[in-house]
Amino acid sequence: MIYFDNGATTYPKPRSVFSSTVEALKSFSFNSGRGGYTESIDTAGKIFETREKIADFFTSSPENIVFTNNCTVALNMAIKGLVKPNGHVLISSLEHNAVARPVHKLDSEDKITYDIVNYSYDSDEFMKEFRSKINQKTCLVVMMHASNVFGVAFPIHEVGRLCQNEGIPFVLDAAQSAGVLPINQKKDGISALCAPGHKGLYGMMGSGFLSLLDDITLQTIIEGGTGSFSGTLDQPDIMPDRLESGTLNNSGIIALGAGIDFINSKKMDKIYSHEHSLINYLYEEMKKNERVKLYVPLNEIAAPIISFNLDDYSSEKTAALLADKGIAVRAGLHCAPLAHRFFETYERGTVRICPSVFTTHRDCEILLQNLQRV
Amino acid sequence: MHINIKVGSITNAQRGYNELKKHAYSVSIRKSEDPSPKEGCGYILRVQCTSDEPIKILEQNNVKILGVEHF
Repeated sequence: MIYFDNGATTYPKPRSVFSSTVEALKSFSFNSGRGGYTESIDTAGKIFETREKIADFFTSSPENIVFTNNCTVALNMAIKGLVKPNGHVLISSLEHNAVARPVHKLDSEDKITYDIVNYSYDSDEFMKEFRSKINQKTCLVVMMHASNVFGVAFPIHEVGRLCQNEGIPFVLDAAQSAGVLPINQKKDGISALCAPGHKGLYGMMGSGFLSLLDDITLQTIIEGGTGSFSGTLDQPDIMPDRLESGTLNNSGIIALGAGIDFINSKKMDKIYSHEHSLINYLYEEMKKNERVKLYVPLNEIAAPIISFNLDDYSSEKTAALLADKGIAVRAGLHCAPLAHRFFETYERGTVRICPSVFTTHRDCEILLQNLQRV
Repeated sequence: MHINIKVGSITNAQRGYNELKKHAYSVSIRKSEDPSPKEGCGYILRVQCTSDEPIKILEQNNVKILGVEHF
């Protein structure tokens, strides 16, 4: 199989992640924060190491790292934890359903109102529209860093600074950018950073996290056992316990730590250079193929993703034909109908190509050859 | 001589442990053996020391302290 669906989850995983998962299952499968025996406390130490690694990677604090099952859960916790009754929320025109659906639900229940800020290749134009849509009731901004469909990115540093100046919390969906594009949570003014462990951070599926700035407090949407202050029915105030109830996914968390170690050992900018060189190659070759329709200029692609269509085939048909040849891509709406509406691909969807650090030039050649032959 | 510093959650205990280790203290994380029903479950840091310096270190590093016992 030639795998180009790394936007869904990265595959393969680094050997170190694989072995750390096995090690975790063997040696750190004890409930941390519950027992007083050595194995429980050692396991807690291992979990804490991953908190520290995430905090170092994104410039945050380890105690403000909350482990979740995935980025969607982190986003739901952040959005629902930060909105105010009758408040106004801003999202972008390219948001994934992980943002769009919870915001839409809150709006349909008359708990909030929201507006969409249109993406623009011109970041000044985007910021101008963004500023114009802030009103007195704006209580939250939720935005993706990079589009999971088209690879374009938003000027999050400017967005974060504006939100800080306006006193509006800023939730960042870093699903496609964590481990890919530089993120400094403190400098970028990101109140709540939400990320999956299993995409650009090369961890396991079933892992993700929410990272909060020190001055951000979320209303809880999940309460339960934390192993601390158990005598009271009140959810503890202390972080991360306040937002982390129930048993953790130890092996997922430890694997996430190993994924971050992997990225640090390879250097994120080198991984990015590799992936972008493949994107450049694919794009330039696909452009020569009259049967291929591309949607975004190459110089606007920030996260390494290309969306395209072939002839008049539906995107799913193209993907099916490629799958018959052992080439894995994702087609359709990619859980991002807003993005497809914006780029006018809603009726047909697109085929998405997304390389990883393990994708080779040869893999790209084979994909291109098969696009010619389809 | 040692002191037991009640820190509550395991994450708080880990933070405190790491800070005290940086200052070369002999420290271990243990489950609180006599929590009151009001306190509920929680962890302590047992520190071998002859002064209250470890407490100051934890406070300076924003590690929440819920109580201290001297032995």
